[in-house]
Formats: sequence, C-alpha cells, structure tokens
Amino acid sequence: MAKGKYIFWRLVALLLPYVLIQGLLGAGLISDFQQITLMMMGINIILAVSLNLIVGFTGQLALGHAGFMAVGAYTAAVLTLKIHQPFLLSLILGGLAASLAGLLVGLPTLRLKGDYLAIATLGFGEIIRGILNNVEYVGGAAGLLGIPRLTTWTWLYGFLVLTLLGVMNFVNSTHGRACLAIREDEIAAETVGINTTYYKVVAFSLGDFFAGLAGGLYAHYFYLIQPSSFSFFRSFDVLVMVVLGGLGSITGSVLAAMGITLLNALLQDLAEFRMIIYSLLLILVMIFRPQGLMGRREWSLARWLEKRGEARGPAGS
Amino acid sequence: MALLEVENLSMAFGGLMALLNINMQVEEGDLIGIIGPNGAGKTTLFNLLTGMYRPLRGSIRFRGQDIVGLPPHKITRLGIARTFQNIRLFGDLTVWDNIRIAQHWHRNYGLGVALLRLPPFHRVEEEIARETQLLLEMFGLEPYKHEKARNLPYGEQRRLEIARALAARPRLLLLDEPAAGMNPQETRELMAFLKWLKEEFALTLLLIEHDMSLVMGLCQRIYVLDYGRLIAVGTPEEVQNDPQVIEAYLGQEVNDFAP
Repeated sequence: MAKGKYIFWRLVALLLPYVLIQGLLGAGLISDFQQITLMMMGINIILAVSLNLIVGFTGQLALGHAGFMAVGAYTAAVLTLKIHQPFLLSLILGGLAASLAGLLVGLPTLRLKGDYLAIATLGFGEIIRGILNNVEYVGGAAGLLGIPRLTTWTWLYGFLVLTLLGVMNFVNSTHGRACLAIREDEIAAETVGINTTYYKVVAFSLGDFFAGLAGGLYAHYFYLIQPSSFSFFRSFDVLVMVVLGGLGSITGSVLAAMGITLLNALLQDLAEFRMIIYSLLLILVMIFRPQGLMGRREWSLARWLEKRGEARGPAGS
Repeated sequence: MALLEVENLSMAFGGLMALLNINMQVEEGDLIGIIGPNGAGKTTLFNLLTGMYRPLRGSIRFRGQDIVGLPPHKITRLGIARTFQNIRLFGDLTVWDNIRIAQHWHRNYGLGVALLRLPPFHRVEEEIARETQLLLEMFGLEPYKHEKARNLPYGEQRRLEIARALAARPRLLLLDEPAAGMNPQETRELMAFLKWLKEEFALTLLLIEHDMSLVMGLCQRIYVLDYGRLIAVGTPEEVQNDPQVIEAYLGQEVNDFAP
C-alpha cells in the first residue's frame, strides 16, 4: 500500500463524519432531538475512551468518572460565565482542574496495590456533588444557569479527534505499554523497572483530564448544569460503555458509547421500561460476549485497507 | 568490592522468623546456588534482594550502594533482575510486547513525545524493536513473537521470562527454580543454556533450585538454608558432605538402636 494513498484514506476517514454531519446540520436536516443525541454521543465517547484508559488499559477500577466530569464542567462554566474567559482556554483549564483532582485522589490510593481506587473514587464522586450542592457561588442544588451555548459540532468533533488521537498515541507508546504491564501483573511490572505508582497516577489523571474536557463541552451545550447531572449513575453509565465495548479496546468504547447513547435516546419515551430493556441487554451481552463487543481488539484503517487490497489481488504499487 | 554484600539480614512474618542473620558475599561473575527444603526462606531472600519486602534488620549492598528501602523498580534499574518460581509474564500481551516492556527504563522518550508522536518516538521505537528482535532470536522465541505469552508452552514461558529479565539489562540475575517442572533431558539443556547465558551477557547468577544435579553441576558456591538460617556455605563437595546439610535433607541420624 502506497503511503500517500494511506494518508489520503486516513484523512477521508477522519473528515467524512464531520463534513457529513456538518452538511446535514447546515441543510437543517437534523432535528433538535437528533442533534442532542449526536452531541451526547460525542461527549460519551470522550468519557468512555478516557475511562477505558484507566480501567481497561491500566486495570485500575475507577467509579467516579462523573465526579471528574463535574469538576471540568463547573470549572469551565464558571470561567466563561462569570470570569468571561475564552471558550478554548476554559475547556482546557476545566480538563486540567479535573486532572488535578485526579492527582489528589490518585496519589494516596494508587500507591497501594488493590482496589482502593474504586472506593476512593466512589467517595470522591459523592463528595464533589455534596460540595456543589452547597456552594452558592455555583448555584447550589439549582445549578449553574445561562452558560453560553458555545459547544458546536465543530468544537465537539475537534476535541473528540484529539481525545482519540491522544489516547491512541499514549497506549501505543512505551508509557502506554507500561500501563498494560501493570494491568497484566503489577509485581512483574515493577521487577522490570517500571515505576508502577507513577504510571497508575499518570493514566488516572490523563483519563480525568479528558473527563473534565467532556464536562466542559457538556456544560456549554446544555446551558444548565446541576450537581444531580453528575451522579453515580452517570459514572456507572460510562463504566457500562467501557465494559460493553471491551476493556482495553478504544474502538469498542467508541461503538458502545454510540450504541448506548442511541439506545437511551430511543427508549426515552418508554420511561420505566427503559431500565428493564437496558439491563436485559447488558445481561445478554455479558452472557454471550463477556469480554465485551470488541474484546481487546482494535479496528484499524490500515489493516482494513490491506485486507481489501489483498482481496482484490496484488496492488499495483 | 563485592557485587552484592548481605549482612545480618533478617525477616519476620508475624512471629515467624523467615530469615535470621543471613550473610552473603557475591563477586562479579559468580554462579551461586541457593538450596534448602521447602519453606527455608529462599524465595523470601530473593524478595528482600529485589525490594519487594523490607527486611526487619540487616543491610544489602549492591555495587557498594545500600539498597534496603529502595522500591523494586529502582533496584532493577541498579542492575538486579529476577524471574519467579511460578512464572509471572504479561500473559495477555504478545511475546514481542513482553520484551519491549522490559526495556522501559533504559529506552524511553517523554510523555509529550508519546502524546504528540514527535520524531524521537520513531527513532526510539526502532531501537526497541531491534533489541527485541535480537533477544527473541537469541532465545529461540522468534517463531512465537506474535503469540500471547500465556499461550506459549511451559518451557518457552520460562525462557521468555529470562529473556524479559535480560531486556532490563541486569548485572545480577536471580533465577527462582528455573528447572521446576523439567525432565532430566531438559534440565541438562538448561544447564548448558545457563552457562551460555552467563558468558554471553557477562552476568552474575544467583539461583534457587531443587534439582541437585543442576545445582551441583553448575554452581561454584552453594548456600544452604534451613528454617531461615544459613546452615552451610561452600563448594558442591563441601556442602554435600556437611552433616548439618545431610540432616536438613534426610533427618537426624539415629544412633541409639534398641538392641
């Protein structure tokens, strides 16, 4: 496969969804409801992929992703709404704030071997909600209202691509492999010279950075954020996406995030049936594909093109 | 200066003294065996040397530096690597990745380089790939390079674990029962392999082993542990004839036969 041709297809694959949706939006062919679903898909993909980095690739169970999302959402919203900072800066600072919160939770708990992180993050999610409920500056339980709607499809898609590239680049580097080693066998990892605490903290706060980013994008799409939007159920939702897609598969997280967001949207009218169908689906997947939809495999454009090339016979170049 | 000096090393688990006042001197290029009945404290000694446990008392000096209290990854970086009695590979990762990961501390680039895929990324990754390929060929693991480590035959898993330890560039290699589960033929092959390994990589070897033919045929000096105590040190002949060693392995001699 010629390299130039590969880069060309890569660009096409990268830009096609963006151009297509942007075109449909411009032509007014996407309803408000569909648009909300679409934006939620993007946000959920960022959340699921970043949680997968922590749970699937590094093997550390974290149950408070919504808490870190809240930190990012509130930070970014306060920055644009009250301090009138530019959107991009606010988003990034939101991500950094979430990342810093991740450091605070991660440093003491990730030094230990075992599932202490799960308990700490579970607590963190609830503490954040408790704090937000009681701080008048950010609206207390009523939440922050009137956040400018700055999150457009273009912004969202841009950050989605950045997240995917960032996580993929990380995972396919010496640093990502150190995380994989920790997931596989923490003791063996340290005996080959890997600083396991450092890498657990890096993966955790990097994942939290993207969660914070997702929070900022969320806040600037829905005008309003309330502490109750970031409850344990949202953390759990994201975890379900990660497990369903496959622990350790970015492609799986993307697919599962899209599928579950769509399902949530479709089942909205069914109210109480929604949870039943949702749970049934989960049970079925866990029975028939306990490793998740993708397991640990990834879909790769290069491989796909290669296979297609082989099927067609030897390529000309 | 000795490569490794252990002085009065003691370790306790609860009220049980697992090791008591162990003294050891290992010179560069030594090939040393550690033997003793089950529960004698052999693996505990390895866990202390690699920083996985912190000793109750005593000192461990490696190349003149006190390493007590250092975390395991720092000790590895100073030049001590090990294998485990019940093989610990990165099971779900490929053979290739197992070796790549072990070069982590000496072949790396910054986090920013990784995230942005800056030029050093490709250069260093190529170096890693070259060394990985070399090691796999040397250890006859080339044909398995895309296999998951857990799917390898037992003997190959043992070899991969040694190859992985070497990828971390040790000067002192600790092998915990490398011959476990091998038949006499395989054990003989292992002996030749260990000799080659020691020369090829200019290593100092410390090995725990139950297979006496291997230990006696290979090691220059043997440390015998029993109930956490060092009961004998010496050449294979000296150790074999030591009454205390015989007692530890065969039980006490019974002198007073009832007529």
